[in-house]
Amino acid sequence: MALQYDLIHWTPFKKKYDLVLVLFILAYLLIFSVVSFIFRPSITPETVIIRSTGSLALMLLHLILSIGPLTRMDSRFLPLLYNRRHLGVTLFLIALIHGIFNIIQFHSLGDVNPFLSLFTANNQFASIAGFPFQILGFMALLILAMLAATSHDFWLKNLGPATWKKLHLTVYVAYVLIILHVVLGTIQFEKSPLLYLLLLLGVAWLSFLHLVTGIKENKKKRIEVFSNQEFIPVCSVSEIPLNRAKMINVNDQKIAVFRYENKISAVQNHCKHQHGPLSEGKIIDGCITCPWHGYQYLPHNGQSPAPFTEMLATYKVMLSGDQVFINPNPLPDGTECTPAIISK
Amino acid sequence: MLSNESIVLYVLILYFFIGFLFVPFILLKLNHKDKEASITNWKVKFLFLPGFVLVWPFLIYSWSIKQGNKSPDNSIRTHLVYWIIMAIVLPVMILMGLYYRPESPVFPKVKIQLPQNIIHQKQTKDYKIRVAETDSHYLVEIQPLETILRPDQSVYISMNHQKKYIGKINGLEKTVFELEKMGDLSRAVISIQDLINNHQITQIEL
Repeated sequence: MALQYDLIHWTPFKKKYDLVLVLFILAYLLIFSVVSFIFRPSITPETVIIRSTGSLALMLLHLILSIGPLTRMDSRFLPLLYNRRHLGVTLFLIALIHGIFNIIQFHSLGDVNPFLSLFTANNQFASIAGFPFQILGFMALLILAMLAATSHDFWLKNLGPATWKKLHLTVYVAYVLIILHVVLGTIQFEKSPLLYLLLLLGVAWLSFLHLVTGIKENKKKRIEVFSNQEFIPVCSVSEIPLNRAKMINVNDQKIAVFRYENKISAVQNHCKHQHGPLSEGKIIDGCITCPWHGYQYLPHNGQSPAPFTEMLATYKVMLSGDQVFINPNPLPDGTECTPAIISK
Repeated sequence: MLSNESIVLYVLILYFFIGFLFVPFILLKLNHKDKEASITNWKVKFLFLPGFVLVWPFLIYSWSIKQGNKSPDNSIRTHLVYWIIMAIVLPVMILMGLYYRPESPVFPKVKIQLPQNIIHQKQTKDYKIRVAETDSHYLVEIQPLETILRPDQSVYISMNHQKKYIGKINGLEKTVFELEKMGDLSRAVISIQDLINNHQITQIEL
């Protein structure tokens, strides 16, 4: 929610988040290097950098992919989500260091252009044990570069939320490429079983989280309506906690029904910023506040408070006794809609 | 003649080059398209430049279509579909990688043993080579010596005007390669190359 774009819109929380991240990265690199030099005194610094940054990038990618489903399971994980972009850009920078040192160590000592050497040095595409796994890493790095470069509100606005979201879903393609990069690369040479056990564990963990969350979300109540139905019963007032919302799925259209003061209002469930689930947010200072990045909207008209310009679609609401009824036809973004009053 | 791998690289370079050419056009268009960007200072706009070069087709596509108000409500379902596939495919990939390892601790491979009837042997400064034969195959054993310490080496054989990849050697490990009898082995040349950068380490005439 800004009138012009900032490099980074710093908040005290973001500073704390980044400080913890930087300290973790430094501690990991230091411990990895010390352990490597103790157990393999002949190891070169370049090899230590390649291995430490590679393993760190893989670990950060698992962390990033865990955050989304974890927040859907338990809202206490939400703080991890607020600054996920910084985590993603950091992952790219670490993967970039890994890639640069690989190219220096393995491809820059010959008379062939190092980038051409990356693509032409090994052409055993039919072999599993000898597959040119570095090309897979390079492709994954390109995807991570695209995601890091577009991790800014400017891109969300100019690409449009749907295109931006699709582009950022390619992180799964990058994940598959990275797993293949490790399976066909390091796993072919590594003697210790620790690495592939950790890799299997990482894949199992992410699969478990995503499947459990996806199945849980899919099971949520879905209301079917016909075009001639104006108002449909969706829930009772007592089902909506004060200053919170209940999410209603009507014909695959998600609506957040909020209860505040002694009123009920309904708006589209997805925040205009990054499609955060508004129904998981709260009413703060009279405004619906997105749980992801704090974007705010007035519940009765879906408009962001001035000077901000974001607007949500609103829905007509009425009450009959304790029963909440909603007209499932969305009104244009920012349309004033009289809240239903809860009689005491 | 360019190899397929080189073509991929040149296509990538062309893509980025077009992206660079589009930068001034995008910056001009931006003032009309995005009010917030038009008043944003140049230091911040500089941050957007890598994105212009990397995702220019997406930006042009997004500007050329009317952006609707529709939210991708089914995103959870999309994630679920991806992960149903990945939960099956990824463990299979990892296990396959383990299975095809030259030395797999999980799926140990049976090593080929060189029979007693050695028909040829040769030793250079860095390698010791012994050849035996069966009815249908030649068995070539290559033993790297302490003087050559490299993590991985690709082995090729040139015979009957044809160069063929036959496998790889890990470090100082003695490795036996099985070759179909297809010509006079005494006129063959074994080339050993660094697996990673393909630099030729040595050529040994048998």
